Amino acid sequence: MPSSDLQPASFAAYPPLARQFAEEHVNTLRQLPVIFAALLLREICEFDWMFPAEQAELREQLESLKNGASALRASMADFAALPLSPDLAREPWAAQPERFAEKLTAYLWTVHAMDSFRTAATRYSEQLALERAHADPAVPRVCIVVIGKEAPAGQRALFSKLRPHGTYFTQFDSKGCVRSALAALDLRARTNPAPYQYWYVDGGALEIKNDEKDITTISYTALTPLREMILDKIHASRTSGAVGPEDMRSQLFQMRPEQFQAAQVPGNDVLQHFELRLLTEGSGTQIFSTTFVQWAGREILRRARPRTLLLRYAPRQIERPMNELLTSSAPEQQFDPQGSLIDGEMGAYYTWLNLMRLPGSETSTFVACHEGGIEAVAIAPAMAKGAESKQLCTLEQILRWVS
Amino acid sequence: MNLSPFNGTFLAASQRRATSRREFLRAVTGAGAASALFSLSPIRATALPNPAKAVVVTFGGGARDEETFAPEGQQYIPGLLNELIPQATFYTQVVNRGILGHYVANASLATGCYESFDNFTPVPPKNPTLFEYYRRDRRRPASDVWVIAPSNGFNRIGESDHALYGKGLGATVVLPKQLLSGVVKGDSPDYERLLRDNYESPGQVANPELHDVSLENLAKLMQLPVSEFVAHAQTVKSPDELSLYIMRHVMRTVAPTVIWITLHDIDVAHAGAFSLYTDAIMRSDRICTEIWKAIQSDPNYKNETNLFILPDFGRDADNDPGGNGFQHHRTGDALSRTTWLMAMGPGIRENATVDRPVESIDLVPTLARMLQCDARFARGKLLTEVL
Repeated sequence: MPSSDLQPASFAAYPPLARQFAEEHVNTLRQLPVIFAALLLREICEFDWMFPAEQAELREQLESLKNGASALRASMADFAALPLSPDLAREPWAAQPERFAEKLTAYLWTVHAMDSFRTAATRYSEQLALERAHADPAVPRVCIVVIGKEAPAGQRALFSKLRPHGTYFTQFDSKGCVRSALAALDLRARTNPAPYQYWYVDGGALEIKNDEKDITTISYTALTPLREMILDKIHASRTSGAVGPEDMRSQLFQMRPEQFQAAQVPGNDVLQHFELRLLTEGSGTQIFSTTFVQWAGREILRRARPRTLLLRYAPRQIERPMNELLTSSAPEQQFDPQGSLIDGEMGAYYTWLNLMRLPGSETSTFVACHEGGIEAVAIAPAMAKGAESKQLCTLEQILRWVS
Repeated sequence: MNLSPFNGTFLAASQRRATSRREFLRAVTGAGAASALFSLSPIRATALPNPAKAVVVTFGGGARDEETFAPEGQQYIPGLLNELIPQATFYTQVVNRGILGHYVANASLATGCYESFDNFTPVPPKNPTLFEYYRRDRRRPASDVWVIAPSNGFNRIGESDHALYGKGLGATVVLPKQLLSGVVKGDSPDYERLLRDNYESPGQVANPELHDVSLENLAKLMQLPVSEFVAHAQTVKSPDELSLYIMRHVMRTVAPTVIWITLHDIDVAHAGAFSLYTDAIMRSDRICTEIWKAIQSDPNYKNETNLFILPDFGRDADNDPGGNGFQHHRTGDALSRTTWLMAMGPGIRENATVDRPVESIDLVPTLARMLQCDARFARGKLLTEVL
């Protein structure tokens, strides 16, 4: 079906808000190449569970695409030039965009067109980023990453990838650092409250009650019942003798919160959907808490575009055979604090990279520190780059210096 | 509009990777550029007789520069760097233009053509493998060519379904994990660590092609007593170490001309734990040096074996917003497509680097030339610097 044949009825199976949004923009969608329209519809399908920042951005994107003379519309030529097999063209891509995207991915790899797709996607993303550049946040963002719980200090020098971009503290007093980080988060949330703009993710149990209305919280420990239900489904698929990784990925993507009501952490639909996505879209998030925290940070920054984000890593379980890791009834867990420190260090670097991809990155503040250790790094306009400080300091002091 | 993967941006990125490796290698080892050396001493004029044997080690879990040959990665590869590089010719820019899935990419390495099948299905390559070219042209038995592969997903890599080659001309393929699970019948938790599959492995998709009888035959062919195999399995820590054990045993008992071993521990990276990924790289580094030592200490192989080591491809770059850094290889960016190759053995120049871009499919024509067979359907070009 060509895009020009799109009808409101094409979206009949979408969730209510997504259907309404797609119907409102059907004229714009009709003018887009099939591949791009399908990928955009895949995003629109999630509209009901998007954060406010995502919904606003999608609206802006559609408005820009509506303008036939816009640079974004010009970049559609790259997508129109991509190959599309007759079989794929016959797929119900508007009604089932996710299924179409999976088949398209396999097809593009097979016909060696993934590089062309990548070129088209990169150009589009760059143009989109240019249009977003003016959208600086009202309040500069702050991101704090606490790593290395229970890992002894001095085993290895930390933050080598981050140090060139900020000031490295070698006499950091980590006592009370989590409390200080939470106090900073709380203060910012109370000063400029806004939904889904203040986040605290813990790789273990939360250090605060999760009834703080201004702060959105996620705890890996609290998600254990949900994780175990998902692991059971993964295990059943893997041992069925009929499901490979791609099929399993599809099955995971199709999971909905209502399938797991008994295991869900109490909260609203949007947050429950987000938590489920973290555990079904992220590889390894179901088995390693360090992977979960890193992936959660990435997705929160990408989707919610928060003003303040606190990530705290906890020790992950040791490596075990994959079949055992993917079984909820596996033996009692043992933990690997030292390996988790290394995971968290890399995770902190990735969080900073993701923070730098957001509008207003030049005014953002990033702090990472070793809980129980002696090292921290701060990257902010007020901090010297590539500098090292031997001054005895706490997280509270560093946060004061960077503000 | 240039949509080729070799557009300006891609090439520039690849060349930056190559430059980084080259400068690093020169700083550490004093390696010279092969092209400059050849202008003084034409390699063909001094060519030694072709060696009789070839061992190929592929990393079926991609490894990036950052964790291997870039300055920050050197801590993970002391063996490659200090022991092997000084004896090797090193290609700094090996590009894989095919599908970035491990089985299909390794099959492409083995055929010299970019295969296009579904990475997660146990199907044979479409194009003839090196093993088939060698066996047919040189009239060699299956026992002269061995493939040691990491998981069930690789079980068809040894033989294509090409009409002119294919059935009966392939390599002997051994899957150590399957061998172990067959003999311990899956009921011994002591061996679970060795039976693990990668996070993105094909799981336990039914595979009617392999069954207990073939496993028993395989064990007989290797002259490997089950009790010895099981006892040794208790002493190793990872699937790749089990593969190394099988390889050494095959070298001792069968002494095949061609051995192709794919290491796969590195692909634990898909689970997102950086420490486990770098641990696996260090293990692979150690295994590579042990393979070279095994070659040099075995009279059947010493001084008549060329060793090739290469990752099948890389992993996503940290700065690509479409990926999640080291965890996957899904973006098709320059870093995930560009890797390295090292070759060593009699007649191969030591401590030299080659900076010209080559492709991973160039391996098969080169090996075929060394093994004196005709890889007539392979699409790659000769790596002339090692011939």
